[in-house]
Amino acid sequence: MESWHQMLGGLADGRLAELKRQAFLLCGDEWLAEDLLQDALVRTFGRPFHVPVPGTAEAYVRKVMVNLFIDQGRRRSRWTKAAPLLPRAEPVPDIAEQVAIRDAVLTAMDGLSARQRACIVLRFYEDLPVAEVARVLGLQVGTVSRYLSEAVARLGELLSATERR
Amino acid sequence: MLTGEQEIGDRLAAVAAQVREPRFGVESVARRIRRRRACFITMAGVSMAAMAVGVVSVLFGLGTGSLPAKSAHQSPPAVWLPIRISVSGQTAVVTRSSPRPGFVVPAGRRLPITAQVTVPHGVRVQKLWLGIVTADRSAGGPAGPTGWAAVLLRATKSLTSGQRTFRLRWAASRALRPGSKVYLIAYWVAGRSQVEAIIASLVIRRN
Repeated sequence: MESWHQMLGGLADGRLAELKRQAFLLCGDEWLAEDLLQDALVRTFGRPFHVPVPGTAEAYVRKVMVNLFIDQGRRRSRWTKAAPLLPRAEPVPDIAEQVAIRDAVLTAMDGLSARQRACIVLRFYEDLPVAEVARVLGLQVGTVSRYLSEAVARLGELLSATERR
Repeated sequence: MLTGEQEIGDRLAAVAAQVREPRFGVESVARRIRRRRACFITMAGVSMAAMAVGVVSVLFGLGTGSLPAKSAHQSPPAVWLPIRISVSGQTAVVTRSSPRPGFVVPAGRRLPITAQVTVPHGVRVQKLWLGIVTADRSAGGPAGPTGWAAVLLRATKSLTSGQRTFRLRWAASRALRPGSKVYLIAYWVAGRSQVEAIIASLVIRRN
């Protein structure tokens, strides 16, 4: 049977970057994304009597990461409300258009709740079906649909407003 | 206004593409995982040990619970009170090791019974009961003994060291057949020890 160390090694061979991208879309910050990913890995493999079934480790880490983000989002809700008002401190050496897209998307995403944000990332970035998103988040399909609908509308407003500026 | 889901997906992908490779090493995560696993195993070991202790104490408790209640409440060493007992002019001293005396008594007549109890030095007797049982068994408990046919004495005050004499009366029922036996029983609590003992047998006289 595959040990946790082998599974972790398997993820390290190229899958960590993808997981970090998802974490980044959830958090909107590279450092926080790395913290979130590491915490999810520790939670996933840190339980001696519960190791993921081989082949499902990445999905499991993703699920833990999303749930951790939502839990942290509850704790940091005050900061989340204030954060979009502050300028982004991280230097971005990319070209202007990419910077603009990134800034617009992240600012718009900051306007969503943690669950809405998780739904958006899982549905439109991970391309998971709504039912799968509901399973990962432990929610009803109808609830996820509502979150998605609200989040898409909100994103539309926020991105349009950003583009008009 | 942005409405297309495809467009949202494209923008998210564009943003995600700008994210750099993870800067942390897998070994540092592995170290944290090892620490967490060790912590879980330690906690599981402690829990198992606590459970084992609990199970053993429960089993031990059940074991003692199946013994007669008087044994469960006796805390060694039991304090023995020497009793000088007189029934209708017949006298005997009952100690821990002495054989229990037998007195022949008539049925249907009130018998004068005198019990002289000696409380040893340094002992305080909180409860003292004397009574009659029809069989050589009864049950004691925190509230006192149960199953007695008659209670002849129930001391209401604590007894300090010294001798106390109690004069009692009791009539054996006429329904008792000649040759049948009843027993004089004593129960006392001294400190943490609790004793319930037959101190004499009363044999119904044949007329």
